[in-house]
Amino acid sequence: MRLSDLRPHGFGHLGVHVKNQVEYTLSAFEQNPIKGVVAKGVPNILRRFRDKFLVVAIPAAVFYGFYDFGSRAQLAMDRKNPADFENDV
Amino acid sequence: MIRNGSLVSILYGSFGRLPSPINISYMWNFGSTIGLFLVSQILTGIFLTMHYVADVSMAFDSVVHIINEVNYGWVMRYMHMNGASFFLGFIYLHIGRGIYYKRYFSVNAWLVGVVLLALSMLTAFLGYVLPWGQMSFWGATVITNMVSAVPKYGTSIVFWLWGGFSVGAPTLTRFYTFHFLFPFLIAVFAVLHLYFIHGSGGSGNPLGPFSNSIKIPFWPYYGLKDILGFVIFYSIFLFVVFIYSDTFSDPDNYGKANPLVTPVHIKPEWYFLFAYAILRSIPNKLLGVISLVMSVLIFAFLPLSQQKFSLSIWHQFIFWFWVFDFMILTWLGGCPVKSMFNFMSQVFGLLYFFSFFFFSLL
Repeated sequence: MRLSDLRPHGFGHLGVHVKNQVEYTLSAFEQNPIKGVVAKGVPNILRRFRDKFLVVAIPAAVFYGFYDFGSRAQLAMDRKNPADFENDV
Repeated sequence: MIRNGSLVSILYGSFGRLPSPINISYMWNFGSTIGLFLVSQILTGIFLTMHYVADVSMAFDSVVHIINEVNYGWVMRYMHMNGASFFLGFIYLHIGRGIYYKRYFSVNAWLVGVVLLALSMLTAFLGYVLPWGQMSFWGATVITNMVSAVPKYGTSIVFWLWGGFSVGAPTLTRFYTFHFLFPFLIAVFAVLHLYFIHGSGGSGNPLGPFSNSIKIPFWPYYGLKDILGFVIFYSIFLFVVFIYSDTFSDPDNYGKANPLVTPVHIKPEWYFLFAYAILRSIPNKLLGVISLVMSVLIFAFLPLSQQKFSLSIWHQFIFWFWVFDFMILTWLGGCPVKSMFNFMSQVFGLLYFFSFFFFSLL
């Protein structure tokens, strides 16, 4: 019999067996939960936005272009073209 | 000490001390939110079944009765109606997160997820027929007719599905039966989905599938984060239910079904429009039906991809390309059948499938 057979099985004990658990605590008087939320948080948001901007904006612009072109082209096809009737008497 | 194998130990092990990666973002909230909306749909659905009548002569009127005369029936009805849109919306966000972070390499959980997607779409389709409005009847007619594309036996299968020679009373009652049954099947598969996720080393994380070096217990960190997500998303949902209840619905469905009058524009709810655009764009009926089915089942082929856990810039670029392609197909599915829209549906439908080819390489 192996030691692993003694470990509980099934739902609630799936996956990794956790060992060597380390718990860190800090006194509440030593903490400021919102420290740096503006000073560091806002530049971080801007950095993350800059990193992803092009990879999202380029496909968005391309597809918006297709949507705009497609709807205008279909609208034009649904209407008469005044240029076709210029020489009518 | 909690006895091993007891319900409390299962719940505690799954939602209490479950070792979770330290770095999972809000993109990991969508799974639990889907669970929240499943519960919401089941509860509101049970209240609706207390007054709904699944008979062609009374179905529509029973829904009107629920809205106008049953105490808070209008709340149950609009919560259930809009809940379907939110349920599928969060499923799409969850799938998007899965593709972006390459979660399809957890093969078992991914394949159960594909089954869940198919079941959810089927349940939503069956549910939409129940009010027996114009769009309910004609949407059911259009989609069930697709089965007639099956060579040789298609027509017989369709008559068998309908329980007659057209969508009618037997169709409504059996759709009601399955619409009631499937959510419980979804719940069973959801438990299986969680089983495979927990059993494969736990949740993935934004940096890849492995996070065994640093884990934190699910409660209170992700338990409270999920509850925060529930509060925010359910508030948005209730805002839509009470203020913009008809945003996602079709005006044609406020008229009773009339088999003699075909609506000018038959279209499904928004969450099916991308597949509807692909279906309509192909002139051949059988190929159109195959494309419709493949537009959903193609997710099952992603685990065959080249195993690379890095999120290269090209993978990200193709992902967003695919997302906007999905959005434009959704728009095209709602457009009338005209030459330019048809052509665009063909082009973007092809690009939709090609995106999966590129996902498998990058």
